[in-house]
Amino acid sequence: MKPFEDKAFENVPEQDEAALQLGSFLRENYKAPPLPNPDFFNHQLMQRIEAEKRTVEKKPTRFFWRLPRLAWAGGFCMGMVALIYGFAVPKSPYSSNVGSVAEILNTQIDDPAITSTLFHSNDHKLTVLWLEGWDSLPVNTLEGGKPENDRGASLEGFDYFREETGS
Amino acid sequence: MVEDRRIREAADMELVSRCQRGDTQAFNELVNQYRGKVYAMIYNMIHNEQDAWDLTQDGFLKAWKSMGRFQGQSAFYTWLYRIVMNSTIDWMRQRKIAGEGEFDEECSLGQVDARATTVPHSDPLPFQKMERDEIRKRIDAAVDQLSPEHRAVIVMREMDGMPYDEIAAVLDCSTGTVMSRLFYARKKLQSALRDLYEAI
Repeated sequence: MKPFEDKAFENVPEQDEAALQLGSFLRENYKAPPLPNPDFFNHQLMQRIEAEKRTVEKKPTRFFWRLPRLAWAGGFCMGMVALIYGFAVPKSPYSSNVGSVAEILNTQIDDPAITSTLFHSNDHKLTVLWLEGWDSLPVNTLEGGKPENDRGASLEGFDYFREETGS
Repeated sequence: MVEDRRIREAADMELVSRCQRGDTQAFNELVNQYRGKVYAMIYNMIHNEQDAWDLTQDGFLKAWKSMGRFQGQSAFYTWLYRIVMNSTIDWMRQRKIAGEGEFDEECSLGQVDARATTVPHSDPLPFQKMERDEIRKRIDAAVDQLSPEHRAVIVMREMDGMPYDEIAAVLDCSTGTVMSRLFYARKKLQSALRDLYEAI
């Protein structure tokens, strides 16, 4: 608002005289006492400011010991876990085969004392027959023929046969 | 007058820039310059010496903390008054001092002029003092009828003589709102005090 607008508002007839009278009356009779102990006021205020500055200076230190240290501690722990896993845990001798894809085929056997499991891998062009329960493998079976004692496992039609003891 | 104001504002800005670099001595100078005005303004709004002291302290402390955010878009004292007025109005709201008939009995504690005890030769005569105290009580009671915002406008305009645009900047409202509040506050005070000031 510009000064002449101030005056225009003050000079509204309703307010004119009464407002001026009230204003001068208040200025005359409504004076606040002076600030008591002004020097102590400044002293106390400066002390509070100094305390505030000390608090502000401490804040970055606290921050450093919170988030960054947590992050470093977390990273260190993960590194230790990786080291322990890499060096202390022994690797399985079959771990290289873990990734190969094998298909379990259906097998049938007459003798209930013998269990058989058949694996076939297309990638390696390999079929494995796993037999459990036989005390010994007949000699002519390894040559591709039928077993002599004919206990029921039929091995005909396989290109390759290997006994896996699984020990 | 305008030139004086510009010189004062320029000096304030120099002190402010030193404060922003962490110079507490510069802030001490600003406090020396404005503590009396700020205290008087708060005292006239709440009528209690101790609370006015505390609110003045808090206002200056807030100003120090916010000094880094002061861009110089307004005069320093306008910015300082804004901080102080907001604190005082919030304080009054928390105390549920909302005007319209409420009367704070603590007001009577601050009636005695502090200079009276230290400068005996300027003491008014007993009947003059009684009369002055009586007038002060009547004014306090009338001002207590006003809301915090209306008190702020009347104190800044009538006691401090601030122009409307500065009052609007301090209270963060339009000049129209300032005029409206001033009109309403004057009406209230006139109806409460007319017999006094017409008799005088």
